[in-house]
Amino acid sequence: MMKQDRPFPAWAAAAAALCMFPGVALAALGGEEASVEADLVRLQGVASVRQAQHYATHEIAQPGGVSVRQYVSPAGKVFAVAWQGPAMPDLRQLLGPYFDTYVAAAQAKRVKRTPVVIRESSLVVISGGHPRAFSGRAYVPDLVPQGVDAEALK
Amino acid sequence: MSAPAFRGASVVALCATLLALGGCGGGGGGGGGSSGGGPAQPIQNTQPVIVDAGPADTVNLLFTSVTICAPGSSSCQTIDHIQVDTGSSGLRILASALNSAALSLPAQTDAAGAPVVECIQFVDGYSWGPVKLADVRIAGESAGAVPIQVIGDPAYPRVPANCSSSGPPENTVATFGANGILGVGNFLQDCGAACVSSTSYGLYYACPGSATCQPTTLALAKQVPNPAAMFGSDNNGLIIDLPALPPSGAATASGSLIFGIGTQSDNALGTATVIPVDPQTGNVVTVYNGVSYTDSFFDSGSSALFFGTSLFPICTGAASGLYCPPSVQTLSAAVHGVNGVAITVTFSITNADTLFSSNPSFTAFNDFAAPSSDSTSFDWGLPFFYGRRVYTAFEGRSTSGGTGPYVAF
Repeated sequence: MMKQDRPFPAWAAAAAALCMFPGVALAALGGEEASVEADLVRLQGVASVRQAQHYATHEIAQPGGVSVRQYVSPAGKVFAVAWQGPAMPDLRQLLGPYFDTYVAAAQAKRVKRTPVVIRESSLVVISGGHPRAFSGRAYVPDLVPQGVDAEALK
Repeated sequence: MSAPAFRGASVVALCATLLALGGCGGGGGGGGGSSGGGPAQPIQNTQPVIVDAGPADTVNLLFTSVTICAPGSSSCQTIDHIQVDTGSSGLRILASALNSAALSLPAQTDAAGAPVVECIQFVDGYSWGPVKLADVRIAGESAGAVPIQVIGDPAYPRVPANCSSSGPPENTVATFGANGILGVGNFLQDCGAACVSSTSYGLYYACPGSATCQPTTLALAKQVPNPAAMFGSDNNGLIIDLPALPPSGAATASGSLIFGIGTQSDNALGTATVIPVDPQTGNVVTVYNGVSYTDSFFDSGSSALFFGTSLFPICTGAASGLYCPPSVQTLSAAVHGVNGVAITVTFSITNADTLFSSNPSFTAFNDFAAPSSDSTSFDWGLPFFYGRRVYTAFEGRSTSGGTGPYVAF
């Protein structure tokens, strides 16, 4: 079923321009789009790129069913990432320099066995689910392009 | 404070186990039953469970005790404060809670004969340790030579980078929050078919040496299984039966873990509604406030209700990160099974800062919620389980309410 709480993102209109090519891979949050190629070896899967009005979405579907998405701004920065699948993704790779912040926040929780929620001015990470169905997303507020609602990225 | 009482209850259960089995040397996977003349006595299928502060000062974690033995031997140990988790499958015990000198457990091996070590991923961290074989006994139920994970075993100190990259380590009692976890979710194994043919989930490693681990595939029968599905009887599902709580919570909450669905007089489905779950993910659909949460699940191992909404402010005090509505909110949602069956669930949320500060020693809360990972996820955690009998039916197993996987309440 479609969720109904948020407007459909602007790139929906551009989805018709969906193109598939295997030369794109994952860059870490906050990294340069140009660094994407360097990570190609790490992930073996089908990559796709969708162009929206204010950003591009690079998605990689890994063989085990985990899909990861990176959102690249017009300035060429990965400003957000998201993941979904039966296993956890390589968060060290996906979050890059923010991985240690994520780990520290996850360890600091008083309440165990809960989604990990970080809402700081420099970083937002929300990670949830259970074995066989994990999902999460992260973004750097300072890198989000103008006109983009980072909470509504799909 | 409540822990000694709990251990006392565990001892009673253990004695019942020993009586049922005629001693600790029961060995293989049989389900007890009568060995002499006369009618067979039903197997004792009920195990006490409790929510208390546990070994790591936690809230809303549900615990029980589990007895494990070296396969076929009378060398056994009962371990308390094992978390009861319907969100995962597999028995896992922290190495530090095991008396490894008295309890020598053989290693699980892969097809090439190398010891198997697992990287289990939970939502808030990973746990690393070898898979071993043990006889498992809970209440009067038993299963022989069950693969279980021993977390934080000093024999395998080096965690592969691919494992540690999924989050923070939870390899000690303090970081894990319990002495172990009893994963009794819908699935028969922790991984299933995916790990038979692929290493992409990153769960299983072959470690011919303590520091030379490589990802490995693993046959279904060698994977870490839901131990309740391995019992010789009452193995098609289970019930978690917890008391209702007052709105302010309680110091502790005691209830029952009842094995089997419709197999004995104490585990009939009754009027419960059967809600089939997605056979791949265990998920259902929850509709709340006009929003359809398509990744929704029932999880005794989650300490709160987790769902995203902008209706409630976030706590800033002791319960930072949880929802803090100004007053108690009585809400309702519709849960839809994958077959279209729908049932309405009423629940309440109160100010978690107030809950924590009013009764700082309380550990059981039924109106306790927090934001979730995204706008499609609705996690019916432990607060949902209070005041209900919640049935979890295992995948492919026949029950009086149909074939699993399903949840019923």
